[in-house]
Amino acid sequence: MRVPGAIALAAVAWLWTLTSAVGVDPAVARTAGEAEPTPLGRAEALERLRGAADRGPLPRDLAMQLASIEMAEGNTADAARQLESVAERFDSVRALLGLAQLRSRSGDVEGAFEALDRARDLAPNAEKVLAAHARTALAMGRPMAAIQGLEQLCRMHSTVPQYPYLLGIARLQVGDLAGSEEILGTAMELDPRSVLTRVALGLVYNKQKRYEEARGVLEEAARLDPAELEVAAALAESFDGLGDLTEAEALARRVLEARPDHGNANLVVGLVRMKQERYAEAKDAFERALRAESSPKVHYQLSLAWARLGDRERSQHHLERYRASLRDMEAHLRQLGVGAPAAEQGGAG
Amino acid sequence: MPRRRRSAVAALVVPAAAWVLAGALGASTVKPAEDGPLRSVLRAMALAESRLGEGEMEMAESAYRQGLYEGWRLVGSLAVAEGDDDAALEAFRRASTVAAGNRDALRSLGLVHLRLGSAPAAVAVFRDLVLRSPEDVAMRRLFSRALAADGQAAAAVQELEEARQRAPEDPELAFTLGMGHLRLGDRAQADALFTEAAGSPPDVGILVLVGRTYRDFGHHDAARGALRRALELDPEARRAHYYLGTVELLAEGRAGLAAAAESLRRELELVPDDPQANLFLGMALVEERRFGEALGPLEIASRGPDPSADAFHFLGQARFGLGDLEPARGALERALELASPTGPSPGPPDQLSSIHYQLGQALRRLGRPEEAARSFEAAKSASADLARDSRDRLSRYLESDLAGGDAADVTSTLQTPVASSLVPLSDDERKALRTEVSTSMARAYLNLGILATREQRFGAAADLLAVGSDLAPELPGLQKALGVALWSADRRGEAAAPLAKARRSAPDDAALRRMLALASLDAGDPGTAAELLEADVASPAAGAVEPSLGYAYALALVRGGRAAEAAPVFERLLTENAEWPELHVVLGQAHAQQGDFEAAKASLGRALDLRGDVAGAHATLGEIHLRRGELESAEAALRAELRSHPADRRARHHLATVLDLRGSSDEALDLLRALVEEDPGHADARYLLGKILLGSGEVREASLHLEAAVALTPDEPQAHYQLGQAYQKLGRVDDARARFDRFRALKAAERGAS
Repeated sequence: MRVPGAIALAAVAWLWTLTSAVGVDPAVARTAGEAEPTPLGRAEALERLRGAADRGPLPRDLAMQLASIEMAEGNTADAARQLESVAERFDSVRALLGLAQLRSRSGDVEGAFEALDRARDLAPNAEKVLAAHARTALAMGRPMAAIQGLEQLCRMHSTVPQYPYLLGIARLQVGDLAGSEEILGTAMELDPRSVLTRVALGLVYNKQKRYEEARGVLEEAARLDPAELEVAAALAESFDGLGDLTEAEALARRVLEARPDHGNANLVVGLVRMKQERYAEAKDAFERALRAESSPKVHYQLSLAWARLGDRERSQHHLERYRASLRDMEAHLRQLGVGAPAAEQGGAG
Repeated sequence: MPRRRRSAVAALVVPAAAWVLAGALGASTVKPAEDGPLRSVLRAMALAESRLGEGEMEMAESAYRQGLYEGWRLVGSLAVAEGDDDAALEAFRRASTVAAGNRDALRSLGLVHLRLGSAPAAVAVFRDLVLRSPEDVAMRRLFSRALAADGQAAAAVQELEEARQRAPEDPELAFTLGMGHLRLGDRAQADALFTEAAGSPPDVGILVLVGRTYRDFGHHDAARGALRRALELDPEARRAHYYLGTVELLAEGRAGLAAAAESLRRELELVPDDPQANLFLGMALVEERRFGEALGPLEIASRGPDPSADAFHFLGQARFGLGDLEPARGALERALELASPTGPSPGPPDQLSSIHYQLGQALRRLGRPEEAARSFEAAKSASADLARDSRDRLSRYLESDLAGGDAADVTSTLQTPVASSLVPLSDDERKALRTEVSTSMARAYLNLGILATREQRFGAAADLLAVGSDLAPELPGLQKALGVALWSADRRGEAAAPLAKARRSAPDDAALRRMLALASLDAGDPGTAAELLEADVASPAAGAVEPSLGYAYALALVRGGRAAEAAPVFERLLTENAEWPELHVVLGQAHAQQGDFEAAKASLGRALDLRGDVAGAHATLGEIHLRRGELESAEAALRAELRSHPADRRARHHLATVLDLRGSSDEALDLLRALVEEDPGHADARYLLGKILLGSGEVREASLHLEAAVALTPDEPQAHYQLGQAYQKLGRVDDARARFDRFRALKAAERGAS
């Protein structure tokens, strides 16, 4: 039996009153990571802090405060300078996280990753640091760099569904399909209503040519969130695998209307065109897919399309790229201690 | 991935968490110890708290986790030192999940698995470690050992071959690999590897080890060869004579006793106080009936730091053989103490029986026939094979010496410097150390929990704080923080216990009292809830009633079956809160409880007018229809409730009841099975499920559910009756009769009460 929400709210409201009355000691608030509220206005504080900074390096808290104001004012370079200074002088993880965030926002993902690497050295067990590091590695297309941290996060925070999900994605990216399927199962248990976990699982099944299972899990995802384009793109691939080209193309088109550069949707269109023997259109679609994401499957299909179009040289080039990708994948899998990847070529071979 | 929606409750409780944090941090003064087993734990904790002071939350978290890692490893080492492998396993498992780097904890975990004989678990642990650090030859060796223990001898050798490629000069690896080949029956390979391991000129220590290994695998001649070679090179080589003695016993049996005794004597010339060699020699001499000579070695063996029951048992035999009856009795009684099931080294029944028997003989000859008779009786009841004699004991001891090699290796590998420093500690010192480390760790869990609470990750906070509460429940602020976190994580029922504990140290804390009241209501304890809220609502000093408090109080009264007392509270509440749908639902429930169904329907109708999906309105209407026998209307109302609140277990149970009554047993069964799976302690669902299954001839399954229902509600007569029916159908006449008797007794008590 549950207490209705209204009572719960009321009960907590008493606590609110009580804590307001007790108050939080400003020293403790500062200890807990909150900047002490400045009695000055932002502009005046900025002026004074800048003045002080011109005279020499600021103490940690003031430098962090200045960085925060600079950021709010949109002066990212000045903010970064303060954060770098704090990170350097105090080995501050807080500053490094701020720096990574700034660099990431300005598109400097390598720089963000470098700051997070340093933060991880200083705080190797901190959840926020490990998670930011792994996410950035994934975003940079470096799944191997993400896997170790994600495995640690899964172990240390076994009830957070996000970590097994991300680990599933990382394993999928390196071609460890069995490992990905297993950990995505864990993610699903922790968050049974997750659409994205279903999409990832559908992609794993698609890669294993288990198209019926992929369709099942992706249709569930579509019921949970009919508007999610990733579901439609993955489902399009399943339908292509099942030989339903009409449905596959319709779904892929739906995705491309919203995002013309979508990798998987372009791949599906290419696969359909190959089966229709419209090789030039297939080649165009694969090239669009390749611009979105380099994958062995796209290279393989491009090699086929160019071969059908009579361009042996380009065909050979993509075949080599396909083989090189497979070799990379094998190396990753050896590092992970799992078997060789299934040759991923797609359905029009 | 979508984040769990943050509730309004969660948003409001944050200030409370900040308050708790203030308290916790305000009290923190960890001083790192200069030395001792706690040093690394306290150093990490001190670093964490200094990082907190600098506002470096992530660094503080990381250091706390490092402290917890060290702490759990220390707890595991304490358990190892005390021989509590299960506790060690749990501690190392926790250590392996609390920090990012967990290599040492996993290694210890794997070793404890090996010691416990859980070879597959050890294989999994070491495989993972080897995968992470393929260059770690020592880890590969452990992996190989786990594989061998798991019966995967070939894989074990393969693993060692791979390790050897990385460390071709490592003599230990060559030796271990030789042992692997010996296990596979490849003696030639083993010989070559052992020669390589021993080196040139041969290392005496390795030769002794090789001799022991040949002995363990039954290659007695090769064992003699290696051990004699060791003695040629160094006549004082430790253990060489000892192993030679055991080889003689193993190879020749009784015929080798004299040679064995000679070898053991020579070992003792080198190390006169070696308890194991003395024990073996004493045993061999007793076996040869050379009781006088056996006394000296057995006295030494029985004076060792951890004397075995065998030492006293054989000493008793020797004394008895010499006619020293009183000392024989003393030694045998000491042997019994050590070997008894509650003693430090419980012995098998035949050993106990043998000791009792010999003690009986000694007592009889001492002229104490009654005590002797008791000993003979005890010997019989230990169901031993009395034909077994000292020779069997000697053989068994030899076998354990063989098997003990690996176990001893595992144990010594587990003895890290910290673990070794714990061994000499007394029980009291270990207890004090455990308390100290637990308190430090609980403090770390408290602060980690508070940091998580501040970030509104209440579930994670509650999990952390719960571990802290297991370690040191009395740590100031911990129970309150746990209660708040559980409450905020929407686990309000669970919050009741910690909040109640927190209230013991702050009985005047009104906020705590109110929160506990609401948590108690959720935990199904309306009596406590009403009692705690009475001061706010019912006492004359309460003044104007806070609506939500009044509502909770009224709800607690209704749920506690005190609907009449709730009436005035409702009156006051309705005056000011006429548009509050939940209030009308509870009022409807109060009317229904008192049998005023029309008034109940009016209140419930009003509630539904105010909000069509208000929780409980349709369900209460359904119950009213059910009580009136209006099954169709009851079904419709309960289905309506479940459309808006599909998880409502009470409504699901009532719908199952209605469906059963309407003949839709299949749907009722589906509902009840799901309900029981979700809540195995739902007695009503168990009962109904059992009853329906019984009616449909599924007697065996029915009996299981009815047994559960009886266990859950032992005073419910109908459950006993139905279970009796099930037993009758299963042919369990006596069990059925017992259930029917219980049914009649409970019915009679009910009639008496009414």
